[in-house]
Amino acid sequence: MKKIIKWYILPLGILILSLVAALFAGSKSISVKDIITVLSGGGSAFQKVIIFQVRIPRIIAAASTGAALSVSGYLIQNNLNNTLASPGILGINNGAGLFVLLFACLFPYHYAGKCFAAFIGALLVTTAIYILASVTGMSKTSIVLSGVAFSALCLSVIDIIISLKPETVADRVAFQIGGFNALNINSVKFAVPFIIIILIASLIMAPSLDILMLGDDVAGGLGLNIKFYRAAHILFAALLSGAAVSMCGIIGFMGLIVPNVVRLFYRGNSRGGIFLCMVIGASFLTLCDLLGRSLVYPYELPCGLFLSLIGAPFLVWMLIKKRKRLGMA
Amino acid sequence: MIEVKNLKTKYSYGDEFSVASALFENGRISGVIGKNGSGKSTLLKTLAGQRKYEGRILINQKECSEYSSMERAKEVAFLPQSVKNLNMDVRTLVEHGRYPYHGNFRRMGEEDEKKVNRALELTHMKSFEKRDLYELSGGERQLAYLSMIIAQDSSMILMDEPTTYMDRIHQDEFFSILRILVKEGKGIVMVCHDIEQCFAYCDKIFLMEDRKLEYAGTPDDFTQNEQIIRRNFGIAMKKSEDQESVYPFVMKK
Amino acid sequence: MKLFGKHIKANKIGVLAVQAILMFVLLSGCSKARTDIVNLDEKNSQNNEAGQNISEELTVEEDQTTVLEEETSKDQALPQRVIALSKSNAELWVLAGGELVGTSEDALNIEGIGEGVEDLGDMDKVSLEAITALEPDLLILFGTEPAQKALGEAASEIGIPVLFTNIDGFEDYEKVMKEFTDLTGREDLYQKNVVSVREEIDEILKKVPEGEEKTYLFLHVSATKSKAEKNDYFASEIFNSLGLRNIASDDSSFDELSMEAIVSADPDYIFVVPRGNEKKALESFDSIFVNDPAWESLTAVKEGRYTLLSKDLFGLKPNDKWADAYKEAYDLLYLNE
Repeated sequence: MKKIIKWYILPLGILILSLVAALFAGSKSISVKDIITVLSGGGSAFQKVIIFQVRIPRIIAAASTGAALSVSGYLIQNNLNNTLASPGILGINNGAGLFVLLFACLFPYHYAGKCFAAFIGALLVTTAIYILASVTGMSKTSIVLSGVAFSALCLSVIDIIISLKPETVADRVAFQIGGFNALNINSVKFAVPFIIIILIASLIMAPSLDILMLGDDVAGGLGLNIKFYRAAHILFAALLSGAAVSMCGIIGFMGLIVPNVVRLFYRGNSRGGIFLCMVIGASFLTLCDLLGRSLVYPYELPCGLFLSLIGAPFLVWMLIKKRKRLGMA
Repeated sequence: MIEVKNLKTKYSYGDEFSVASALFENGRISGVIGKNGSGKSTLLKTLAGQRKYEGRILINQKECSEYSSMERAKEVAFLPQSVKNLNMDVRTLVEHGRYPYHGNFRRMGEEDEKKVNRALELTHMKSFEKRDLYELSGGERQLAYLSMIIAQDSSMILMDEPTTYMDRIHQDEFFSILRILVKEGKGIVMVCHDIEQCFAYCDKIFLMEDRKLEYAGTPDDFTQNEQIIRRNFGIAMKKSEDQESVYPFVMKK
Repeated sequence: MKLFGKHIKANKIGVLAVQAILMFVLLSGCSKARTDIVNLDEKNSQNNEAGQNISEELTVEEDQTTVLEEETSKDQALPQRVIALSKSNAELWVLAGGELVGTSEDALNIEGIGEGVEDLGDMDKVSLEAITALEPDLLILFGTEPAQKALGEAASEIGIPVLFTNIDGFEDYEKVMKEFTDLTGREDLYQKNVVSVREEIDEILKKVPEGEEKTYLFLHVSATKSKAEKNDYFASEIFNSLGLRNIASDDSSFDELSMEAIVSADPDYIFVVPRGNEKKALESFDSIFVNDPAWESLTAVKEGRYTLLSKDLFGLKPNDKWADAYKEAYDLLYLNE
C-alpha cells in the first residue's frame, strides 16, 4: 500500500497541485476571487475568455507537452539502451522545423496551418526513419543512424532555404525558442487528445519495454517480436514529440532530464516509469511555464530557462546522491 | 526436442555455415564444442531464431516457422553468455520469464507465482530475490537469469557458454541445477568452452569444424575417435583413471 | 518485404495504417481550419467595422462563436481599447489620433502616447493573456513577423479583432494611415500626416536633376550581422526615386555581405544605418569593414561619399517624418555638388 501511495498517489497529488497553482497563481490579470466567480459560471465576457480560452488551454498545453516530451525521452532511452538519447536524436525536431519553414515560405500569410506543418514534418521524418531502419534490421544502431542521417538532411535543407530566402530566419528562430505565450487554441485541440491517446497506448505496451531492456537475445528468447515493438516504441516517441513540438516549438531538456531523474529514484517496471515521467514531466513544465509567465508579468520569460535553472542542479544533486545507481534501469 | 535438417546460413563475409542433420533431445544435455570461429555460436543463435536460415528446424516436430514468437518461447529459451546488468531486483527479473504466457496484458497469477518461486528455490536465489542485479557478482547474476529461464518453463533451453564468467563453485552449482532440469524432462543445448567440463556433463557432444557439423556422439565415442579432438584442440580426451580427479574425462597429450 | 516475420506482416500494415489514419485525421483538421477562415471572411465582407485588413494577406476576423461577440458587436467606428505592438505600429495609431491601452516596450516613449499605457514587453514575446487582460477591441501587429503572426492568429481564434500592417514603402504608409484615420474619424490628421507629407515629397522629387545614374549601397548593420538592403526596403525606395541605382539589387553577390563584393561593385555612394545597439553595431561594422585595408581604396570612401545615416529616418519607418527623410537624402546628394 505504501508503495502505491509513494509512486502513484503522491506524484498525482503534485500534478494536481501544480495545475491548480497554475490556474490561480500569476493572477495579475485576474484576481483569485474573480477566477472563482468565472469557474462557477459568472464573470464578464473577457474574464471568461481569459480563463477558458487563454489560461486553461495554456495549462493543458504545458502539462501535455511536459508529459509527452518526458515519456518520449523515456521510451527512446530505454529502447536504445542509452541514457543520453533524447527525442532530438530521431531528427523529429529538425523535421518539424523544416516543414514549419517550408510552410512559412509557401504560405507566408496563412498561419493557421503551422502546427499541422510541424506535425506533418515530424511524422514524415519518423516514417522515413522507420522505413530505413526496418530495411537495415531495426536494430538500435540502425535506428540511431537513420535518425542522425535524416536529422542532418533536414538541417541542411533548412540552411539552404534560409540562404535562399533570408526573411524566413525569423520563422526559424521563433520555432527554435519555443513557448506558450502565443498558443493557438486550435493547435491544442488537435495535439492534446492525440498525446493522450499515445500516452495510454504506451502505458499499455509498457511490459514489452521491460523485456526489450534485457537485451535483444534474451528478449527474443522470451518471445518478444523485437522489430515490431522497437518500431512501435520509437513511433510513439516520435508522435509524442511531434505533437508537442507542433504546439509550442522546440522545448529542449525535458526529454533528456526527466527520464533520467525518474530512473535514478524509481526502480520499478516501465509502466510505472512511464507513468512517473508523465506526471512529473507535466508538473514540471506547468510550473516552469507558470514561473515564466508570472514572475515579471506582463513580460514573458521562456519556460526553457526555468527548466534548465531548476532541472540541471536537481539532476546534479540526484547524481551525487545516487552514485551507485548510474546506468540503465 | 529440436531437430535440424539441411540447415544453412551465410555469413556477411561470404562463408557458409551448414549442419546436415542434428537432433537435440529432451532429457539430455547436448554440448557444442569447436575452435574459435568454428560456428558453434552460429548454431546456437540460429536455433534461437536470431539468424535467418535455409533448411528446416523442427521444434517438437513442428516447423519452426509455424510457431508465433510467444508460442516458440514456451518451447525454447535462450541464455546468453553475458547478461545485462540492470537496475532491477532479482524477483522482477525472474517474473519476466513468464512473459510468453501473459504478454503485455495479463498479470501474474497464482500459477506464475508458483513457477517463479520454484525457479528461485532451484537456483538457491530465493534469499537474493529483493537484491538489485547490480549488487550481485557475475556468477550470481547468471544464476538470476537462469532462474528467469527456468520460470519460463520451456521444454528446451539454449545456452551460450554460460559458465564463462563464473567461479568454480558457482559452476558446479550451475551444472547440478542443469542435471535436475534434465531429469524433469527438459533438453539443454549448451555451447561449451571447457572441454573437460563438457565431457563430464554432456550426454551428447556436437563438434563444429570450419562452420560445419563434423561429428556428433557421446563422450565415449569421442575418446575412441582421438583424431577429431586432436586436430581441433591439440589434445585428446581419455577416461580418467585417477579416483580423485574432478572430471571423469581428462585431457591427454 | 518481410519486415517483421511472416505472420506479423499484418502488424506492419497495421502500424502504417495507423499512421495513414492519423494523417487523414490531421489533414481533415487542417482543412477544417481553412474552412473556418474562409467562412469568417465571407461573413466579414458584409460587416466591416473594426478590423478591416489592408494588406494582401488573409486575416482571420471575429470568431463568430466566441463570447466576445457581445462586447464588440456594438457598432463602434472608433475602437476604444487598442493595443499596438512595435514602435512603428504604435506610432501609426497615435498619428492617426488614436489612443493606446497597451504597447511593446520599444514604443513606450513615442511622441503623443499619453498616460497609462501598459508595457507589454518585448514585441516578439508578448503573452496572449496579458493582451486579453487589457480587454482590447483591436490588436495591431506586423504581418511579416512570425512571432506576431502567431500571436495574431491566436488572438483572432479567441475573438479579438486583429489588424496586420505591412509597410514596405510610402504608399503602404498612406494606405494604413487612411484605414486608421477612417477608424478614428480624424480626417484632419490624415491631411497633416499623410497628404502634406506626400506633397512635400513630390516637391523634393521635382527638384531631382537629370543626369547619369549613380550607384549606391545601403548597409544595415548590427552587432551580429550586416546586410545590404535591396529594393524592397523603404530607404531604397527613397534613394531610387532620387535618381540613384541600388547596386545590391542587380547583384546576387550581395546576398551575403562581404568586403570583396563591395570592392568589386565599387559603388558611388555608401550609406550605413545601425540596427539595435548602435555602439555595438558600429563597432562590429568598423572591425569587419572599415578597418579592412581595402576600405580606403573604395571610390565612395575616397571621395567622401560614405555616410552614416540616422536610424530614425532610415532605419525605422519615418512615418510622418517621411518627407524629412527625403529632404535629408536630397540634401546629401545634391546640395553639396
